[in-house]
Amino acid sequence: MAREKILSWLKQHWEVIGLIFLSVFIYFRWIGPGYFVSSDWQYTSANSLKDFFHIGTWSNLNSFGKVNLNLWRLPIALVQGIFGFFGFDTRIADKAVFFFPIIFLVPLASYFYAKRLSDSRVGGVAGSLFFSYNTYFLAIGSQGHIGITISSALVLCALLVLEKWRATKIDSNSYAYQIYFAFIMCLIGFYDFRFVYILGLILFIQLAFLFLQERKEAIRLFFFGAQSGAIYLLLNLFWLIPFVASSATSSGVIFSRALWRSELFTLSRAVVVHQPFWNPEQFIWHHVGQIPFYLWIPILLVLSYSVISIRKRKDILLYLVLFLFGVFLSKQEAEPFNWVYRWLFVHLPGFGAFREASKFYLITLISLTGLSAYFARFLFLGKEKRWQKLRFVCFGFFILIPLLNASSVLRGKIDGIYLATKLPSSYQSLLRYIEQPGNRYRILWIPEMGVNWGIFNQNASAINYYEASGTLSDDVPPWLRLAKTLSSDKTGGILRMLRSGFAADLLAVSNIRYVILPKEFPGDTKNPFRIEDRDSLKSVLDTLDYLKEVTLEGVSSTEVTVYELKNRMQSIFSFTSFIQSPALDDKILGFASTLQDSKAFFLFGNGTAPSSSTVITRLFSSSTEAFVYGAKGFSTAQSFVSVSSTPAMVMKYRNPKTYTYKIKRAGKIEIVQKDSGMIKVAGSVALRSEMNDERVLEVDPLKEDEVLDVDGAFYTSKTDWKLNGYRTDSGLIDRYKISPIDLKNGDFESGLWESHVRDCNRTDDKADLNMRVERFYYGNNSRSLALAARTHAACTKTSFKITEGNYLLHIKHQSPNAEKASYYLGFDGSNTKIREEFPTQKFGWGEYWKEFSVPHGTTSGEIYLYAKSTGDGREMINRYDDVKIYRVASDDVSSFREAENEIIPVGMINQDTDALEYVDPQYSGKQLLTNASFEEGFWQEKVGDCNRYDDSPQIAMRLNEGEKTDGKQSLELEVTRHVACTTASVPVRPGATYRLSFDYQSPNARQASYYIGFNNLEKTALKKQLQIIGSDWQHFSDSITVPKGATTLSIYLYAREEDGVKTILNRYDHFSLQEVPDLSDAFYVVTKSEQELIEPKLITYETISATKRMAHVSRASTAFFLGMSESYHDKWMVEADNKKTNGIWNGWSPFAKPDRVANELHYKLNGFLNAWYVDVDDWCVHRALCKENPDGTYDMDLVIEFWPQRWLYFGLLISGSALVSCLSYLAYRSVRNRRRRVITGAINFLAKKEL
Amino acid sequence: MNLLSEKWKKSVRSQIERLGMKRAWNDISSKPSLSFAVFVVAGLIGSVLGMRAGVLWGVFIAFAVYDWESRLIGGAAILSLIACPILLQTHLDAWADVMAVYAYFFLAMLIGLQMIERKRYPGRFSEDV
Repeated sequence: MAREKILSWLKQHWEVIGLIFLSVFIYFRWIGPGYFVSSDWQYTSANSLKDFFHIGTWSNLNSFGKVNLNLWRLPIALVQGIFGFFGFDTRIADKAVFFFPIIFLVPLASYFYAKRLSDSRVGGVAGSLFFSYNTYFLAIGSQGHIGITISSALVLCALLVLEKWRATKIDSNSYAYQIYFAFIMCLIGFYDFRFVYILGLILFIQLAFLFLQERKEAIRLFFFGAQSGAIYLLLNLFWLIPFVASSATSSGVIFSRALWRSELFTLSRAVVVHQPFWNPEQFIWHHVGQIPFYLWIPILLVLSYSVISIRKRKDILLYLVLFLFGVFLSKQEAEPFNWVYRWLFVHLPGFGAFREASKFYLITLISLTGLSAYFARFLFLGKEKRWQKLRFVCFGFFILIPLLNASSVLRGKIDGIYLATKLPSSYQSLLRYIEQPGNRYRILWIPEMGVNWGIFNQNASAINYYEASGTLSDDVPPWLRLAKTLSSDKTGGILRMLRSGFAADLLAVSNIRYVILPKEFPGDTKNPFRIEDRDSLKSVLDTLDYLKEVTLEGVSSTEVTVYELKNRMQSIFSFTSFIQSPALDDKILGFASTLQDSKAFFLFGNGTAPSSSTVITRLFSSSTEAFVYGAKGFSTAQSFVSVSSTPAMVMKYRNPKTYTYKIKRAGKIEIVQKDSGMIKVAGSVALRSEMNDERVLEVDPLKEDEVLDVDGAFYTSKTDWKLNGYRTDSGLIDRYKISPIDLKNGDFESGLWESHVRDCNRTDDKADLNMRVERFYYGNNSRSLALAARTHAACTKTSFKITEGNYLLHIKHQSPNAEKASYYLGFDGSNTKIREEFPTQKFGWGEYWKEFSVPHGTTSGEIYLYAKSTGDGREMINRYDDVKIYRVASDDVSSFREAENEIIPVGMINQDTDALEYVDPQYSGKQLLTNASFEEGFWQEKVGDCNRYDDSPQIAMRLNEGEKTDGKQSLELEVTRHVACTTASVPVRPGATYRLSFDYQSPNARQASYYIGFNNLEKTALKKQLQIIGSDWQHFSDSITVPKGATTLSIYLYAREEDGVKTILNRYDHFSLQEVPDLSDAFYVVTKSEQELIEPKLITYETISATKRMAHVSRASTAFFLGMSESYHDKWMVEADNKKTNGIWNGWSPFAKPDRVANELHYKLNGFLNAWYVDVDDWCVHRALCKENPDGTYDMDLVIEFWPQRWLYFGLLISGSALVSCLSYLAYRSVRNRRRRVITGAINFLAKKEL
Repeated sequence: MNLLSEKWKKSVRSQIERLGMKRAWNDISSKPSLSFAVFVVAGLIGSVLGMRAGVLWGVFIAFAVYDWESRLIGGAAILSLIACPILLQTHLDAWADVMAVYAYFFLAMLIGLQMIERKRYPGRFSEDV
């Protein structure tokens, strides 16, 4: 009997069981015990999960502290916290909170939804398969964006409730469905709040559709939506209120990110819901895949059916409308009406959260799920007999094609979080170590930790250098961002930063305790460096005297090298003086480090500094019009005037650190003197700018068999030394002795290597290749090789003898039209192969060097050179010459001597009587731009289109005689769509500094913009967007240093599209480009502080939570600065610890009025931390908030809190009350209904009895 | 094959006659002033928004005013969509996108015409599978 019952149940629910079984089968790995980490999905230990209980409005888990923008997922975090409380890490918590909902909820929600629509089980199955195994969910899931998938399934649940409500004509006084709907909305929002927005859009479309068809129903739906929305709002006030209170929404973190990669999204992809990176056999994130052919089949079937049957069900029309709407949004900026998405992104409130359109795939998916369900029902239950013969074929597609997608997951073709991995043992030990209780600190991972392994908690934040340095938000230290700008090399910048004089202080103030250099482990998908970089990184870190390598038990130093800062600071501290500087750069830091008695407490910007500050100002700031060249002499520096208002000014100058190392080839190598300028005060010479660099290399000239390696760029004695020296970003410089190996005919003087060109990419029989030897090309007075390819890839090779050792490959290269040159090096007896592409030189010859090692047992090698076609029928030409391989005989054959830093005080300057003048006879002030004010017409005949994303530009260029600042006319660029641009080029000297200035104006644009490009090998470019205020002309000027190897400067001017509708005008005039001495770092003005402050004797503190600290200051005698190592936010407050900030009401209420340090005394320390000026006179004497000691000093108890946390409590009170009310209502209603049923039953019973 | 059966042939022929050119020509020629108005409106739109827009709007208006079978437009949408994967497979991606745009416009027209039809002839719409 029981067996029959089971069989009967199974028979009744075969489709549900089948769908669940299928889902479990596909995601079977998630049920196992492995670690699932990748990309944005990381492991979190049980202890760290426990910290989720303390989640507040401020987060400092893996940052320097920032407003918690994930507050909306607080309930999810609390559930995770419960798992942590019971000792489970994310291996268990993730299963319950994320993996199981995907395994069970997604197929079931879509099944019930599709079944409900089609009123058929087969329809439910078709809809469920279509929805659950689409390329979008599967692809993004691999990167850990699985909250999106769960939210999407919950959207279906919400729509299911809506459908049920629409079908149930219950009395209008009932709000149960609205509450259920709002609850589901909340769940959607907790996983990904953007999907609440999408649900709102779907409701809006339904409402609009109904409004045209059945107005009464539309009005009913409107009220349903409004009531549900109101309940949702009340339930979510707990995060909305603190968000508004902490200005998180206006800080631009979420809503003002730029649109992301519009080129990925096309109408075709949107129609078939193809995630752009989806490639079923070789899935690589960020590699765009072709749309698989088979994805079109179900779409075409469903749409064909829908078109034919459009009159038979009105819902088909509704779902077609949804389909069109979803496709339209998810194509982002593709045709048709490509401007609409950007317009919505800019103007529609909340739309700014969708920086890329893939989230809108959900709308398309829902519509296709519905249409699939109808189609399946039609196939199996329809009256059209002839279709029934084909039903299994058609239905087969609905099973096979989603399954084909899912099979990529099943077979492990898609990795990411679909495949289990292991927590490296060193990380395991490190994790145990950082979980030990103690004071708060931070860990700086260089270049980046295995981000997926979550080696951080509330106590020990993790900072990833590479990630943080690329972040533009205010919560990242400027010095970290600066490090990235110091070098184009990924790690060179941080090394340069760590070697600077202030590095130890900057790390200490930032509360960094450990600097960790990890190894690249499997699963570290974000780790950007290669293992071979690690040794050189380590060798530099080993030399830093403020770090010491520490050995932690179980942590292998070959896997994870841990350095500890020798002189740490606590996270709450005091200090007495700021160094105020207009901005942070490495030169300012370098200069400040040479000042006596200075510490790394900086205040950047030109705001009012406390009187105890030391103010550093550049005398010749690049941002001010500080000087005029030639005979006119030089006007008073604006910056100087502002500083000289301080009476006790001491002027100092220091020779700048323009280049870290410099070498001059002039017989012997000597220290560079850059210019011979001098400062005159009142007509007499006061200072002579000798420009000794901070570190100067002095070595013998290079011999013919020597090569200099400066940051991986190689120089020989034959290098064309146009520069006065070479700049190194990392400070890594080596000199090698080299000897060439016997590579025959590397200079092609004896002709070709081979008689016939080879085809190195033979895809068909249509090869169009060429190879020849050319003479006298581009100033090369010898022969060179030219390879040409219209199709395939032309190549040629030669062999050579080579044995184990270190070598350098040298190739001269040139190409008139190819972006890259390429070669291949292979060796016998080993698998070592080097295959590289590198940028070519368009004009003249470029030199390429590559360092490589030859493995043991090698006797010979071969080298291939290539010219690769681009597939568009153009003949791509690559020229090569001087192919040589050198054996590196010995490392580092010379030592380097360095010059000392020097600061020379030059005495007082009285601004009323002394005129400041800079004289330099070397510079003529000659204007280098011809037609600089457009008096002779345009720079180019036609307006350029600098963003041709389609074939419909709306751009123009004209000369405007009405609006101008110089001569008769100005240039006017006009744009409605695309980017209008024009360009001019001028010859420049590598290494020289130029001053560019121009005027700009616009009647309606928000910004003007320019771009400067150089023709060096690296194609160095600078670009700037200039804010336009009002409609008056504005002036811009800046200094530009020409990079090495560049001989031409090209300047582009732009008018940029805003929303594709508005016509934008940008006008430019009065250009000037002059060569100038680089004085930006030559002279500084330094003011001494007026007031001597004394630090309090002792500061102790206790961390209550991420948003609250209690500090006790002992024996303060003068005013002092209180610093806190959390990133700056104006809502951090310092309050007196008294009854005004404590108690039942004042302890949490946002309406409390505590005694606090005034906002104007809250400073941004080092450009990102908090510091307050605590005036003891005011705080202790006038306001009596301290305890006086017998020696006349004061003790004070302070509370430092992040005020929006109080708004969180307030919001929780409201949301909690709303939740209790809703649950009470549902409970009451349930009891009432039960009672009614009982009474009705009794009446019926009695009535029957009566009868 | 069933598709070639007499019944099918007849059905197809009758469908073409019902929906096809003959009826279209009759409609256009029987109401010359209306046809002229449609042509003028399409021309005006075309002069402002471009030829493609003019033609598409002209087709849409013609289908709306003459009450032609709107599913023909849907058929055009499906044909355009069928062309997309073929063009993509032959690496003519730009053409595929153009065809997808046409498919999109045709589908939008179909929906617009259906909305009009529902207002005009509510009786035509049965809730049947």
